[in-house]
Amino acid sequence: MTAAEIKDVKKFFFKLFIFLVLLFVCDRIFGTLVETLYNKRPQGDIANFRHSVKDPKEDIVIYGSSRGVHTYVTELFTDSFGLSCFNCSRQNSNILYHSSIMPMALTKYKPKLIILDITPKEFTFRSGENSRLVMASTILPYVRRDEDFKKVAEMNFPEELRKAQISKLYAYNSYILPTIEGLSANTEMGNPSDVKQGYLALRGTRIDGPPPPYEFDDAKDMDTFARNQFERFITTVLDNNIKLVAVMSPLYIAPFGDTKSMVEFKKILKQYNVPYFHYASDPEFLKTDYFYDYVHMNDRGARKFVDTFIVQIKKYLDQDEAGKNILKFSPIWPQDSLKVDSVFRFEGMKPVRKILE
Amino acid sequence: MLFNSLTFIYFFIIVIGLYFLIPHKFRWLLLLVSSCIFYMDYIWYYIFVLLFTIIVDYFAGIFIENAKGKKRKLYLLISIVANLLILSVFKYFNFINDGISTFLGVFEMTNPIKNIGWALPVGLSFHTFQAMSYTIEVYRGKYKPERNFGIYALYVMFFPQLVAGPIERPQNMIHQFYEEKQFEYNRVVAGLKIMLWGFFKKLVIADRMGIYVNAVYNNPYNHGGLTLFVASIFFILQSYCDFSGYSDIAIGSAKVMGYDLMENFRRPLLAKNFTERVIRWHISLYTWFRDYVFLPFTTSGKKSQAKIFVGIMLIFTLSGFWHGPSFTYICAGAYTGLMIIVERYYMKLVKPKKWIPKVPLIISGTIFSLLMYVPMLIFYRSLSMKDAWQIFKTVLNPAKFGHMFKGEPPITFHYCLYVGAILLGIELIQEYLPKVKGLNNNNVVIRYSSYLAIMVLILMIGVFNGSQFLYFQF
Repeated sequence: MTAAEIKDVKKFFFKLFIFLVLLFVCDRIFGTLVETLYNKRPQGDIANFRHSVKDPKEDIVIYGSSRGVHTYVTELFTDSFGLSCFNCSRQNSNILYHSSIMPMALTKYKPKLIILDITPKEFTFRSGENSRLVMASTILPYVRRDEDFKKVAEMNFPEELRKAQISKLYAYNSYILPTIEGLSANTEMGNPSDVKQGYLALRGTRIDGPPPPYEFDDAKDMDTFARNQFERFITTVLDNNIKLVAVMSPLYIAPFGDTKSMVEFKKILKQYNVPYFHYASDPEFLKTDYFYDYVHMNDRGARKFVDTFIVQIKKYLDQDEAGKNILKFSPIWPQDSLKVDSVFRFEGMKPVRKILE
Repeated sequence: MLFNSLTFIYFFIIVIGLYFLIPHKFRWLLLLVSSCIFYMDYIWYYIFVLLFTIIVDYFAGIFIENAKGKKRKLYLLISIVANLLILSVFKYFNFINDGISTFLGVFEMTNPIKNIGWALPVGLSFHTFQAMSYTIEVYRGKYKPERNFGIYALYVMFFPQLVAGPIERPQNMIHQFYEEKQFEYNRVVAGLKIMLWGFFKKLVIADRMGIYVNAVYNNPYNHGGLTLFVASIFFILQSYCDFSGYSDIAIGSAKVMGYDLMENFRRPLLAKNFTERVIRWHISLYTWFRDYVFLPFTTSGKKSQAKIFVGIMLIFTLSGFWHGPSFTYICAGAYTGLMIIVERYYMKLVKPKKWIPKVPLIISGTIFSLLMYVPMLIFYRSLSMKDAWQIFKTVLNPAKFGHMFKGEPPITFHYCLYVGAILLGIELIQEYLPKVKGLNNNNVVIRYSSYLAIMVLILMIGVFNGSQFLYFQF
């Protein structure tokens, strides 16, 4: 290198150093600012998440995606069972999210019943990517102050954790608008401040005409990681002797055959004797009056569905307590699907712990 | 290796460090090895496909130079056929084979040839076109063939522009590999600034818009006309920032090492008419087709207006097909050509009245031509012709105007509005107030504030899901 070049190199590194120092200062200042705003507004999704993992105490707990958020009217469960109920569902999430959040809650207490709402594309390849990001963005703000969250982050997204440990601002990535605009602001999918025990009602409908065909591209490969996490979710619940039911809540979609994900999760559910209630494309609910859009029920539909579901689940639980075969009460497995002799029995059941990859 | 990954950042720091530490005579070798590593990070064995075209074109160049008469043309033809053959096998085989199957199906016959399931080598269309420009330039006598095989290989493989351009010309690139580059503070910082702006466009604008656009376009049947229209507008911003962001990172990283790559985008969003917008968008591809297809076609034999129109349709339909083996791309290209012809006629027939002030003319021209761009991008973004048709039907049917979907969560839409406004504000300043500078301001406070503002925005609202650049698929 020439003398001029060495001079330029020195100048470059000196200025780079100054820039990095300034960036560090900005990161801490803005990071602290967003952190303060974030903590000031513990509403909506964030508040639900906090409650789901930090101080849960309800007897009935529901896990699901946005479909779960807008479908499971918690007060109906409480009124009907006389048990407290909380809806831990979250927008844009799938089994990857639930399987990481639920074990954290179980370290605090044990609910009596867990309801898992499943989608037809639960294990579709890369479907978990979005969910993992949702989980990352939810957990990263807490990793600096909570070991539990740090462990989850280490397990699921170590690279994101490293970035969040370096940059305080990065831990709050994407939270600036929700905090500035306020999570209580009216939004298209309901007002988050109206969330009741995790349930967020949608009003009216935005669809018309007959239910469209199912357009999902099922040719994609299956995400084995999501599949394994699904199995992990089940074994964790069953190992804790908590009752578990899986449900596919109604969709405003014309009846469709089993997707790859559905074939696989039915196999797993059968393996662990977990009852499955299938309401997707159920003619009873295929009315535009019940849906906000094609995949989310509105409040009217949600109440109608939950009323029906509670009747079924009560029958199941009553029969189950008596130790009878409750298959006759199951509407629910599609006729051409699996043989389910013992799928609906809980009593005396010993879940098999499978070593997960 | 994706530009928007930590791996690339580490890779770039190591390459730059070594580049300035080793003597000039070994630098081409370092760049070649680095480019091989960069390319092999995707599917390593495809390097042999690239090597094949490099060998063919290298020798074709020398043979063309040494040959006379018809033989020159023959060597050029061999080179072009070899390049197009590779491109066809990997990119268009299944498309053509499906066409044959459909044709045979009409006569109730089955096609015995099965489709192939090979992945597309990344950036195949880019480096194939770059290689072809070399042999064509040698054939035209505008460039002497490169005798150093390593340097020629580096011309095709130079990692900043290997997988998504800009599609360079030998006159612009090869001589630069022979020039001794020094570590110049101003140039290095200028390159880093261009890279920073590219990262901002990709992470903050393109990927942020992409969340909303994907949510809508992946389920076009579930949305009303208003939502589809807005998503299409956002897709213009997404595709522009995605690709121009990549180009900026490529141009910036080459500049850090002392190489000048050609400009690939010149604020096309602010073009005053449709033709100008097309010309300012993906300049290196447009000029490639202009120089190697349009001009030879229109200047040979008798000149006529009809020939020019056919030439315009030809290059834009081909350019659509270049993007991928799909009727949606072909339609997008054909639509572009058609609109340029319509605009040419319109401009000739309707002269703007002198009494109309200039500013409203510019604004209306910009907005109108942007709206005319929407159908093209609907074709580009739709997963199939069926989807595209459905989107057009929905957008054009007032009864299906529908509600505005704001994404899930709705904040997705708000982000799009904010980042779109930031982009538009900055581009307007760059276009109409070039003296107002941020990253290049002489005032150190303003300059550093600009760097920090961009970094803070990237950390705060950048999307870090490692999404691919849209143009990698081409």
